[in-house]
Amino acid sequence: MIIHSKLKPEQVRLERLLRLIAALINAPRFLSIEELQTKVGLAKGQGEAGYPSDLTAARRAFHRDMNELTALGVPVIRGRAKVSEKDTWGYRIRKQDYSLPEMDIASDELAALHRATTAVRFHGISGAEALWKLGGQVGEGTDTELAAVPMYPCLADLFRAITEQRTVSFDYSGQPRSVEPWTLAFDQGHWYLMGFDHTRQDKRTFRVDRMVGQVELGRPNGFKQPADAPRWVSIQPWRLGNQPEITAQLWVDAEQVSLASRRLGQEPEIIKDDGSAVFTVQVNNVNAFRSVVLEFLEQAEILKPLKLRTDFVRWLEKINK
Amino acid sequence: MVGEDQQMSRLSARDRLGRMLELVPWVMSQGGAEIDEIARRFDYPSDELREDLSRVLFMVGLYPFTPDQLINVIELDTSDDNDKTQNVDIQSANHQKAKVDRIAISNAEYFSRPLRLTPAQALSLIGAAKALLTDTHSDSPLTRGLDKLASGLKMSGDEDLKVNLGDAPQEWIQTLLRAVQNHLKVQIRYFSYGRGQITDRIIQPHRVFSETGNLYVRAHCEWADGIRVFLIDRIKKLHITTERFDPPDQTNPPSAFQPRDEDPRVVLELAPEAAWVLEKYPVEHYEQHSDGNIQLTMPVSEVRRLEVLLLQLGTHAVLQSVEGALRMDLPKKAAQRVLRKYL
Repeated sequence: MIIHSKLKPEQVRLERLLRLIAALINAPRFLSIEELQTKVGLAKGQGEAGYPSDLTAARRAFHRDMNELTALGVPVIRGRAKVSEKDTWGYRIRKQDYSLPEMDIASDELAALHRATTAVRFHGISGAEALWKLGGQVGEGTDTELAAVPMYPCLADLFRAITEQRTVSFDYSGQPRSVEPWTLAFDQGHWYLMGFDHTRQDKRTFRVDRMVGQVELGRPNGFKQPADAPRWVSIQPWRLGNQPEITAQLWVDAEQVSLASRRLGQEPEIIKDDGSAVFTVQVNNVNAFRSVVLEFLEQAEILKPLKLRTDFVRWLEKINK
Repeated sequence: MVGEDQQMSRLSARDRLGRMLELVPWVMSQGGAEIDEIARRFDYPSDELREDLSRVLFMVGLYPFTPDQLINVIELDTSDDNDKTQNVDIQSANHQKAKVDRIAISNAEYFSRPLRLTPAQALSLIGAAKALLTDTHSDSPLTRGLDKLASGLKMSGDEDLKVNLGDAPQEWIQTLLRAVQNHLKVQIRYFSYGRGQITDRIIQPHRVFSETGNLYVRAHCEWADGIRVFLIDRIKKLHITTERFDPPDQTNPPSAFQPRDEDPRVVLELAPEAAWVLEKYPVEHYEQHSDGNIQLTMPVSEVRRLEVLLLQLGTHAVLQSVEGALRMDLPKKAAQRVLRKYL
């Protein structure tokens, strides 16, 4: 004999939520909560899925359900619905908003993505949930995490703005900015947004963690990224400044040449017989450049220009006093 | 008998819904699937999955909920060679005969596509893939997966999103990750910043990690006979060996700065504009005075690192006290060494 135990409360809830989504996707127009009572069904007794027959209670239950759907990213839209000549709010899901586009990701590709999401985690985002949408978790993840990347609430909005070509507005250093976003970059431990700043009428780079308050998104396809938009280059503090550009020559000891190449993001211009090398560096921020040079202590020397050299010496002499 | 309450890690309604909305389209696209396979892919304990398929999904459908409007959960009978497919209660089938291990789902066209990725999920998937790929044009499963994702999401190009975890040769990272996974010793030539010298070492890498824009490997160093953290960027040569090592029982959450008890401490007073030091250095204790100046205590594991910091800060920092072998004239001496180049 088979004895059916009652459904668990979370199963009853699951059934109602699934029915609700089914009804909303199939809705030809906005459905009011009253109509949803019918379309989802009424719960006549305990342990039965559906909405209460009392409209106020049903409304409460519906809004609780909506919280769950929102948390999962189910795109429910709201509009006017007409019920027995009364104008009221109604709800529906448009299939095109709901559905993942066809991607046809193969099994080995899914396994590679699985390894990637376990090696590089983004704070507060479940890589597993994202993978379910692509066909589930395949293969083994790595058991060693390479990096945990910080996330800020506005990052998802900024990323969406880039993919949908929407202008973004935000407050930065106490000023409102309106920007056509081109690139979002995680570099040297920080998130940056690069794009065209309407206020300054020029290309600008912003630290995402310094954006204040909400990021407002403009309409989709609100701008077109120029074909010759600059590519992202790794953040170089000595380039971030409004000072007139100086061309500096920096000598670096042989031991430090490969490290300096990566640090400066360029190859040396001259390599000497003893393996030491000279780099030519464009500088827009003298203080930042001094800090980089000091990382190499006595294994580096500013050769040119003279002014930069004497300022550097003066800085050190103050310490030596 | 095990009561309901004793079941481990019961899934909430949202947990179940999140999985169900994605597994139904997958099973439909496959024309049926093994229960165990679904459970694995969607992290759904298989007993719960069986029950939710047979008793919950089976009851989902459209108004007026007549049988033709309900979702079909079909047992695919793999033991018989006929195509006798029928709606079954998987739970009761459980008791009657061999366990149902393969199912198909139909009459659920509205659930035939997975839910779109949220922008945060898309960012994390593409970001994770990009972080591991420096050459996005090479052909690998990861590159192909990334391409399909990017075109599905209508991303305009490679420049939309960049994730740079640190400057280091890509193949070294891959090699070190392989060494960590397979417990293989690695031979490195390393420039020690603290000593200002190059050494050849055998290391047992425990973990590769990125922190504040640098990539590190944490390892047992046989040369130093202790746990050390190496900046991958300062490795001059690297060679993976075939010699295995015993992995550590447990690796602590990694951190680039691993102050040891025996590290000497220094006390610094910083001007307000040097407050960034608090973020970037392993400060153990600090307080801000009413004039805005900050007094902090930090361990020094590499003297050279402290020298660099003090020269960078210049007059924005004053050394207030030192311990151990450190001297109060440390910044002066360092400045003199650098100045000698400029004579």
